[in-house]
Amino acid sequence: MAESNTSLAELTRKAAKPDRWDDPLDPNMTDADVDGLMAVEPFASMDEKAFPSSMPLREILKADTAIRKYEPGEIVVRRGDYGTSAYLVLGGEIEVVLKPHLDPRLLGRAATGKKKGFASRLAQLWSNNPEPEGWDEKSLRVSDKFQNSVNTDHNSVFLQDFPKIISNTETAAMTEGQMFGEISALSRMPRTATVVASKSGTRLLEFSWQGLRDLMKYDAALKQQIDSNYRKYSLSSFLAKVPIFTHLEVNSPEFQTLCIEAQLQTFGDYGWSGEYKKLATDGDPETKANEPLVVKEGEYCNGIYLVRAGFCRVSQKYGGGDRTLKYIGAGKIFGFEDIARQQENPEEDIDSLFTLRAMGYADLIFIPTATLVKYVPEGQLKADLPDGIAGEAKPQKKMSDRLAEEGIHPPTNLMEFVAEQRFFNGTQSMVIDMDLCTRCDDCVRACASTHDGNPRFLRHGPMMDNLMVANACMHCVDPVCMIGCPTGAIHRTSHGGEVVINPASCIGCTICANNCPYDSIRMVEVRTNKGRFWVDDNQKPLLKATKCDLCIEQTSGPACQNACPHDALTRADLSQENSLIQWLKKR
Amino acid sequence: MTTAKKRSSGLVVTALAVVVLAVASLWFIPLFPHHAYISGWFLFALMLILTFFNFRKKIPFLRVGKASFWLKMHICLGIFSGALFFVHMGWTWPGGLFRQLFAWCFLIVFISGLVGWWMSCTFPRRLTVAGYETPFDRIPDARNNLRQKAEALVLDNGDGNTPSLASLRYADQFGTFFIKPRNFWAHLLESGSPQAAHTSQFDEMERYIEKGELGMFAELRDLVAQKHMLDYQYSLQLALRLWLFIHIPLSYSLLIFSVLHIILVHSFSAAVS
Repeated sequence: MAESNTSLAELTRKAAKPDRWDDPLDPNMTDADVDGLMAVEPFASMDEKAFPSSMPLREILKADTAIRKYEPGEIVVRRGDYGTSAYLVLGGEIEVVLKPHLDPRLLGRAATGKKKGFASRLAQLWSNNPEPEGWDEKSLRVSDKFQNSVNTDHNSVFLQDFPKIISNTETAAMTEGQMFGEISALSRMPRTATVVASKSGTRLLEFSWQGLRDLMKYDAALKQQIDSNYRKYSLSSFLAKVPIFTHLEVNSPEFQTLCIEAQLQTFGDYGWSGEYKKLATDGDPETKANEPLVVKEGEYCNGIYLVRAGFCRVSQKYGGGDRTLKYIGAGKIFGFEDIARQQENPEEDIDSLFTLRAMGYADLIFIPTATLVKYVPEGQLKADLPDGIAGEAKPQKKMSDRLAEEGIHPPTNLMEFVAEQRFFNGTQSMVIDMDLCTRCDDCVRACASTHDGNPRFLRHGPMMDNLMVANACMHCVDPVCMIGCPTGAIHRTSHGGEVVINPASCIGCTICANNCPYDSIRMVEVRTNKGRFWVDDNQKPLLKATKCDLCIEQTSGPACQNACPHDALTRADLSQENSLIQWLKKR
Repeated sequence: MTTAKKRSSGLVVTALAVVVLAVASLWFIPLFPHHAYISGWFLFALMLILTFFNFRKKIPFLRVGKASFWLKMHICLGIFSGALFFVHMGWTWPGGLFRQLFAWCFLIVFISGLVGWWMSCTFPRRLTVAGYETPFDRIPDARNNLRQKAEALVLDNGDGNTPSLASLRYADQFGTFFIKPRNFWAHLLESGSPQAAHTSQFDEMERYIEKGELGMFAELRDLVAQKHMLDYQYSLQLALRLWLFIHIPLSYSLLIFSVLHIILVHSFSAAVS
């Protein structure tokens, strides 16, 4: 026995167990702050006894909330930003900008859709900076006007001449006790409006999404309120685009009932990018075991799942393990085929043919079979699996069947590779066929030529057989890099468009680079045209975040792709499984 | 149509054009007394188009077509220009120093182009299959890394006073092996003999290695294998770059020769005719 204990001590090391409260949203939150919060609604009405001892209400408030103070004109959230926080107005007032939307330049972004003219494109032949990362003073900052808008102490941006700007737009005021941003935080969708503080001393309570999730779990009133908002503002517009429900009028009682009967379910962790980085560093053979199970193969699944946000892995038992068949993202349906089979054989209990797991996180909408049978025409239920939702093609045949007809079978190892490396998040991933690539680096040189002499990607990355996914910004479906940018410098050009950085409003805080799970954002120390480093008042070098912008300013599209003499490089949408396969078919 | 089919259809059309040209040069073209002027100017135009492919690489920001389209055209027109060059010369090798230099220059550019094309078609697959993919400009770092690992391995081994057998053998045989690229031609020609020689040396030495050194010995063997793979990457990637150092400068020389040739021909054509 003693021998056994000795060997255990030799084999193990003691360490403090990681705790739910280890990483608070605001380390400065005190018990007095929590006492203050407990006196205001909705917390005053919450039953502390309803919270388990492992997760008391006060601990949630202390760890997952932060009291923020704002001055008039200070931007709280920007339209189009991604965020994982919701806000409650504790005091003062905020204005939600409805329409017209504010000029992107006021929010620290570049003017959208601006392309270089022929002359300025041609001038790149001789005007590119000979120094690596050579920046002139003008390009370091947007304008003195915007620079004055940035409060570097608080990493915040103010709207200059706020009353005048607001007077030209339609806004909605929100006062004490009102909550906003919760739908965006819980569903990982971009913010739909810009919110600006309008009164001096405005106090907001910021919730992390984890805190909000836990509060909703143990407080029925809050859950009901957020559910109601979600169904009213977000779910109905989503379901209206689902092909199997498009025949229903949005205002009809049937559609309203559908919205009520749909169940919202969230699996996994929004902080998946951190986990992915850890996985990439340490390696983890038990990846699938760590993915939350949604549906297990062989078990009865009484309904379908619609993917609202995030990604899921569809797998099937193969030998002693699971084989990934595909991964499905936003807008895809799981389980429809099983329901169709059951409709054909009503006497039998049809078990699921596949396993469904959330990868990272997934925001799913479950529609029970009973609801589906009520609202989907019988003929359509017996038809083949619908593959997409509005905006995508609606193939009548399954992808695997169509590809099989064309002589293509999605290689399982390719599916596994894309899933394991989390590349399904990329809409513009740089994929190189190394059997064709002569390693000439013409792509790198073309990238440099179009970016003032500085390449914005590395022609190196993980490989599967002959395919390499190079280290270039993938313009992700879920751009975690955009979460937390204090000045809004990193943004999408349009809804679902390219993720770009406005270099002038980038303050070099490195948040985006640290957030990016794929290490595709590089912080560079900028130099003068003569090679001397630009430094701030403390003699520290000025940093700027840089990454692939998909040659957004050029009219010819991504230079890397056009410059490859062997057609070995493509920018593939890996969030759509057929994108890469179709390209491979053309080889 | 797939990329491979597009490529092969372009080559079929080129081959047909070469055959038609060859037949025409024997039966039809000689009927025209000034055919050399026509073929000469046509050849010069082709050379300009062929040279533009390199210039295309310098202007990725202008919409002048994809580089892959330009490469396909470069290959097809390059092959055709080879045939046209011989038609222009009347299927004979020219006399005179200038014209011989000119012809040799063309021939070297043409052959280096074919060799480069062959390498571009075959080497990438070899590099992928070989593994240890490393970008060319990072190879020195990777080599240095391997060297440091090997040296640390050897230095950490033993009691610090008496050098071990493996350390002695490392200093004797592998010390210089890790310093710079080795066996360029062997790797290029796909010869496994350098690696086989090292494997044989390791096998021979293994019987004399002490039990405590076996782990280190296996790691050293692995590092040597990695160095061979890295050398393989280096050799093939270097070859894929080196041919351009012949092909491109001589292409520009060819253009200069062509301009001089045109000036000379037109200057003295009155006297000749």
